[in-house]
Amino acid sequence: MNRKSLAGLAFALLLMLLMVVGCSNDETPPAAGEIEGDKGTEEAEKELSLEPMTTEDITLTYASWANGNLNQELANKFMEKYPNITVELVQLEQEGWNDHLTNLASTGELPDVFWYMGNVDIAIRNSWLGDMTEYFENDPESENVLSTIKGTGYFDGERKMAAPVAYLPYTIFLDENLFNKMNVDMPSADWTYSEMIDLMKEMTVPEQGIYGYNAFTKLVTMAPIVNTDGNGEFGWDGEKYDLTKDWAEATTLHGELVRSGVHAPLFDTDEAEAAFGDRLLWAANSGRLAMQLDAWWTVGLFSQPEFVEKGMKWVPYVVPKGDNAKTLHKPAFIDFGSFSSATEHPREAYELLKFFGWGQEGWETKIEAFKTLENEDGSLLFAHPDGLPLINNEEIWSELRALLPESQYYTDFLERAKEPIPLGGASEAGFQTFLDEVYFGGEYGDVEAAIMNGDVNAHDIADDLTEKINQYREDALAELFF
Amino acid sequence: MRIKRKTIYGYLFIMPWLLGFLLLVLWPLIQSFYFSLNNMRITPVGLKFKFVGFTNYLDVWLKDMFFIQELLQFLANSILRVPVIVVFALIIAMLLNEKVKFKGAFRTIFFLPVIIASGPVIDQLIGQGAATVPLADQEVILSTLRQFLPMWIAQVIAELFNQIIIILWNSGVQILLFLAVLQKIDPQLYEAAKIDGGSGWECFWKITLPTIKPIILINLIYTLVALANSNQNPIINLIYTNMFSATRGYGFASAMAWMYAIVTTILLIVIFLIFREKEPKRRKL
Repeated sequence: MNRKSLAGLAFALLLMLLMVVGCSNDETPPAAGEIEGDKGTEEAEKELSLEPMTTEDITLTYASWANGNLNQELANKFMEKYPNITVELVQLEQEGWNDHLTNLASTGELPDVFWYMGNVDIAIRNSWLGDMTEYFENDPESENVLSTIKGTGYFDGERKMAAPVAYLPYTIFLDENLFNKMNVDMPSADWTYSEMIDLMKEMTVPEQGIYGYNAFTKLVTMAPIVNTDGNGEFGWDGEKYDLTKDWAEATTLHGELVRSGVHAPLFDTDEAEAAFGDRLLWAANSGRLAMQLDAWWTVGLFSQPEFVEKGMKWVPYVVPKGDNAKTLHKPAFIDFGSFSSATEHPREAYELLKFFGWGQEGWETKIEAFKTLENEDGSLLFAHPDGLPLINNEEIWSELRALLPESQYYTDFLERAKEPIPLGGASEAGFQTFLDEVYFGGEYGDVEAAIMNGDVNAHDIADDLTEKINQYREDALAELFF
Repeated sequence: MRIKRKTIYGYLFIMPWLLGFLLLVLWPLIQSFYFSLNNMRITPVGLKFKFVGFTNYLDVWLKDMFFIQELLQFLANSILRVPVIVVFALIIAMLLNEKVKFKGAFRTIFFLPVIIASGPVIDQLIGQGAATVPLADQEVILSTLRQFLPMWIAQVIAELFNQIIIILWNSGVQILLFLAVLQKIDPQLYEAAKIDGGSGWECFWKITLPTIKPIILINLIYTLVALANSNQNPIINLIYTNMFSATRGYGFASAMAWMYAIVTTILLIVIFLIFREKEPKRRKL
């Protein structure tokens, strides 16, 4: 081997050594895909950021019918966070809320941020809703919003023009004491729609004057949502309504249950007077009712001594799931808000709407307010939390849980209340107008009353109603482009 | 032409009313007529109009199932309530015109509801059942009337009994008007009639009633207009509801208000034609 070959061999060995040393490094070089992935995350993070807030001194007006003290607390916290922004709370009477907004709009004084009540058609028709698509879709906090309501407010499928700001679930209260007295087991927290109907019938004992249920919230709202994993009332699948199946069956069933005495006598009727000796007595206050189909806000009422002293123990259940349901979709009273299309500060208005609605910091403030705000006599202002969180944040949910009575029923309830489905009026264009002009005031009169009285057959009119509600939606959407 | 000083004073005195009328009556009337011809939106940056001609007026009759229903109800109610209020006012005015002690206090009591029982106050009172006479059970009245009257007439009469106190409360202004004219009647007429042997009953028919006939017309008109504009009137509520309705709005509501105004005007004309002063027919010689 000549010198030249030796030098080549040595160089090759050195190279190999360097390679071995290089390869022995703990830090494994990332694969190509991983590099792209990281880059993607960086881009995603970059995308999910909002433009900075203004540093100029500005004033934003805000109107909602939430508790005034709570609103003030939230406003103070927001102003503490953004000292250059002054939040002015606009006081309006809750009754006739949308009318008051209309009056304000007519004088050019529509609040920068506002809740609208129950009927989005008014806001759509009058072009009140600001476009928050850019902000919501670039906001990292949007990821936290409960999955079933994240996509709401896109009335035309493209622009997000409103967002959920308050959530009160449908709640079914069962009188545990009455169930025990009748030797009927309380249902599982995962009960199904059929089980609920069977229980209503089982708990009806005419000879003892005991009734299966009383409805404030309706089967006709629940059934189409829970039985089909639906996204809205009246068989709404995200594109079309269909009243021919669950809606028709539920209204028919409700009518049958009312006529057969499973439902308690209706309020202020001769039947109620015959049954309770007082036509104005609320059936849930009679001690002879098994289930009250109601809403979350009644939790506070049922904890009053009046009910306990009469021997009732009302416990909350979520709306049961459909027999073949894959989800926990359940109807809920969800209020919506937006910022004015004319606001001069849309970015800041969005932040304010979020803070009062679904923002994490806002919810932390709310939880603190529920714990600390007091009446003049020193008692707590909120006997129980005002609504449930709109976000998936375990800490917030567990803090809220701690503010509720220590009972497994509440734990079970909250665990199953994270897939709310909003009612149609506030969340879908044309829905409320259909209700006003057709469903409760059209050729059939009050459709549900007509079915309950046996004047019309739900299955006979379902096609007609389906056609009309879909048309109302189309017409309302056209207003977005007026 | 020289304008007299008195003329200027006259105009100055009516100027506040004139300005109020122009700004608060005539201008809104013109505005509402313009609204009624348009599809109107109340956006945060101002009002937007889309001219639709008389479509709103057609829609009031063709698309609103409640308007005709409520209008017929209003007509039926008015036919019953207007005479009840005016006759009651006349009786009370004649009683208050007698020489009784505490006359001033009684007059105040009868006029008081006009001042306090307006708007939200009257809503509260009705809500609390203060408008009904507890002994007059509407269900009993209705079932009795249904035995010999069609349902729709029976309902109207039963409703009258149900709200009898509120209806009678509406008579304060009419009582004052009657009182004013009753005090203007020359007592010598009554004296002369009594010398001729006229009874109180005859005096009423031959002297009082003919003298106050123009005021009866005024009171009938006043009562009908008051009932038509009352916030207890379902048509007023219907117009309000449509005004803030998502799809109808101010344009439709204005058209409805105009149609309602026209119907009310026709009623007023009918009343005027019936109760106007007629020229006495000359006897043929």
